[in-house]
Amino acid sequence: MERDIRDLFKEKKDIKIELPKNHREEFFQKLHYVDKERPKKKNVVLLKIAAVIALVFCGTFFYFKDFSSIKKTAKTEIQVQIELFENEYLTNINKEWESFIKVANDSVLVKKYKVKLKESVTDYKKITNQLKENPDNINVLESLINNLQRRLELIKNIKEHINELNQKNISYETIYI
Amino acid sequence: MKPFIFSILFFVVTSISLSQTKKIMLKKSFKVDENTVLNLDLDNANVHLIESKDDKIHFNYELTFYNYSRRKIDDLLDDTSINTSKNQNQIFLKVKNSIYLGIDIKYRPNLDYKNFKNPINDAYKDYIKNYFKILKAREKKFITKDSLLEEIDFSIGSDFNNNIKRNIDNYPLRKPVKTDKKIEKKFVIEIPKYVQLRINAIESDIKCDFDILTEFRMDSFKGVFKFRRINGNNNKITSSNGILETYGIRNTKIDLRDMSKVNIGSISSSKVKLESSRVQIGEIGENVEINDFSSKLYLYNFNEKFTKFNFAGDYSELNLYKVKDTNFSMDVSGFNTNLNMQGVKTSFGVSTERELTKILQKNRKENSPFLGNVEVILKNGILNIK
Repeated sequence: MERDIRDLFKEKKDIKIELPKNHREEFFQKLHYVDKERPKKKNVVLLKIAAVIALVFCGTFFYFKDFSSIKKTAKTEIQVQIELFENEYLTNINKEWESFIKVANDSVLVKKYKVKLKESVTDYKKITNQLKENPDNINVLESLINNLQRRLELIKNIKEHINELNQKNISYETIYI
Repeated sequence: MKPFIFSILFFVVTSISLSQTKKIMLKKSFKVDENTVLNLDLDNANVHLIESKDDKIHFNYELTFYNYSRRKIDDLLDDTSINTSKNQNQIFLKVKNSIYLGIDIKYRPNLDYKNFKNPINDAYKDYIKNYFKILKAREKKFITKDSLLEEIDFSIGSDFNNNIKRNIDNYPLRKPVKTDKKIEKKFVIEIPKYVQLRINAIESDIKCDFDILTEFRMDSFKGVFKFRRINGNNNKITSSNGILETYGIRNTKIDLRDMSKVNIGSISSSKVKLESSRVQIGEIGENVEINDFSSKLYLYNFNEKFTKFNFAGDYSELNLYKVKDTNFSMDVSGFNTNLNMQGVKTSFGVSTERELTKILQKNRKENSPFLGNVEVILKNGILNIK
């Protein structure tokens, strides 16, 4: 099927266009003009590619970073407040423990409560780590407060119990009602 | 080029856009018969059990996320696994949720993290500050069986949440919460009443809306458990560090440790082992035995035919009500024990031999129906007779 296209002009004899005399110069002028325009077009394309790359980078940053990492840098008001509560509770827990040890003279009881506190502290450490990962989660915050309240309540209760036992108004006779 | 840029912008916007997203986690049914056993293995799950109207168990679990990005939802759900299976006549459900998914928004206003002065946060601040005052006020209250049942009925779990539920109108949300992120969980399991239940739960909440009439077993750590009545035979409950509330319980071996709240409307034919828990019982029925270490017990009433009630405790605080007015006999013995009665505090059995001495005796009244006998042994205990 290969053929010389010059034969086409030979076939179609009705196409008779005369070329202008200076067409060669005009052609070279146009060619020169196009060559000058090309570098400018190249710059625009590069800019577009750069914009797309920047957008992709921004998108990837938001997608993979999320907002949590930004929050980590500054403490929110609630975190500051929770820290205050936490410190207050921990100070009270220590105080109550010290007073409990002073009044309790049953080593088995003290040992049992030591084990209980140890279990509670292990749980507290777990919750604190969870809070670091997710500082604004209400569920974790509640767990933390529950842990501290329960621990304080536990020691406070047994200390008050021992204190009451130590207030002695001794009777040796059975009471009948 | 334009469509490409728009698609990137769309991707960025949708990944951080805030909206409401509903996820169907589980929707499955199993045909069952009277010999079927349902095994629930729950980790950080919040389950509502209701009676099934056909002979099928239906699992329906859906989550609605408010103002969570799609990526955050995917992150939370990555840690979630749900499996159901059937082996012979046993059906198994195993659920493990992310620890950050355990939020029930009903009656719980969200904290406003950006503005701690927002009045909505006062609900939390007030409770945390006044916690021990609230505890003390609670100690002074006398409760009847009916009022305890009302308390159980109202309860959604911890005293903290009940306090918020009770006073929610006092803490109006004057400013809209900006970070109003919420997760609404609906996990409903419909179970025919004749199916036996076995529950293994860690940090999970269970609410059961029907009377359990078959053999019931539960093993749990943390969590809130609310049952209507547990009336089957050979039931067994072992729980620690959680909350247990029920209108009534019978034929059950109960082992509770470090429970922050145990509210039982009525109890009968049961053996209870307790440790460092706070227990309120509205009414003691026939053949109840309690063994305790360092708990606080409030026993409000005795049933008309309770026959016998035995209590043995070490470092226990036992509170008994209407003792003089009720016709039962009672023997209390112990050592190093305080008796508080009519505003007088007396110590008994203070000796180094640690021998039991008789502290108190109450004889039956002749001219009114006799209810039964109460036998109490208290070591290092406190007995408050009110």
